[in-house]
Amino acid sequence: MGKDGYLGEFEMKVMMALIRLGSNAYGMTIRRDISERTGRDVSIGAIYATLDRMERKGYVSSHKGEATPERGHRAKRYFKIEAPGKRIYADSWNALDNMREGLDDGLVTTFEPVGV
Amino acid sequence: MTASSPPSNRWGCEMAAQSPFKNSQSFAIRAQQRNLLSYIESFDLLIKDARVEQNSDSYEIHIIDVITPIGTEYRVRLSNKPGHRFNFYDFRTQLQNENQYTLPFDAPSREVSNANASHKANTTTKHDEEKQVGDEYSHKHTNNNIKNEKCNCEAPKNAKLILTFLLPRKNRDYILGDLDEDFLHNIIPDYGEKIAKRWYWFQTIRTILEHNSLTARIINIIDAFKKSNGS
Repeated sequence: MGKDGYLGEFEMKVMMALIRLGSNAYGMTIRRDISERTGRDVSIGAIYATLDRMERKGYVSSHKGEATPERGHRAKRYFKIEAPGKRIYADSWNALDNMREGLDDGLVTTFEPVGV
Repeated sequence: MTASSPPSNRWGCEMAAQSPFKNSQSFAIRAQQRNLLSYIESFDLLIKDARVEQNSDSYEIHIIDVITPIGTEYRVRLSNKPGHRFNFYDFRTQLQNENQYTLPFDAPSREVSNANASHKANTTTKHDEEKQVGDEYSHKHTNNNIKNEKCNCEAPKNAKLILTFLLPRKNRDYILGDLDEDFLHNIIPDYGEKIAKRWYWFQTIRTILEHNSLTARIINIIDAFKKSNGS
């Protein structure tokens, strides 16, 4: 694997958000998805910087969307994962899985839902 | 009331490190807590700190308020059982309000520390029990009402101006649009105008610092400046 053989931690999170959001993946929804699921506030600038970098590498593509009044009539920029992106996501995931295999460190625990 | 297991500690630490607008968690408790904070916002409390302790049958959220001069700490217990009952405690006065409240709240007022308040609604009635069943729905319903409220608030103009000048043209409109949409649709309904504006400024600063191309641009400017001074 070369230098860009795997995705970084934040790139993985962005990729997961893109997969989850599907056709509704643009800056605001990606930022919110990551913030809500990780519990850490993420800046919109970091999202765009990551997506730009991944777009340059051919992992994602973007297209201009509609402009709405609540956005001050500014357009959205929708993102989509491309085939190389899917490949590298799978590779990165497999690499992590391989590293975790056989480990029983007791650090990964699933929380039971509360009051639901 | 211990939080000895690693996941609980880890979570607790994350909670403690959070600012008011970073209160979401990737667990089912998230929605309840978010709503809880929204509710507290309506009482003009500002959350300075929050941490979570996990017990065998419940989670407890410790919330420290910064608006009251001394900094009142409330402890909120979220039960595992449906109905989301919880108690309020005032750590400053060491008085406990033993009443159990249910979401979306039967309004414990700011005087939760007052011992007299403990007589206010001391037991949950059958009606309360029935009410709990619909809590989840009414909770969402209440939030929707809040979300549907029209707000004429505007994002801080100076922050917008800074972003307009400093962001690269390629992403400028997208970022400003995303921030505006998030500000109006999510942050204001959840946290109110005051915190939303702070959030906007926070996002502005972080976006400027974290946007690579912009950072690169600033570094280029500094380099160019150094070169011109050197030559």
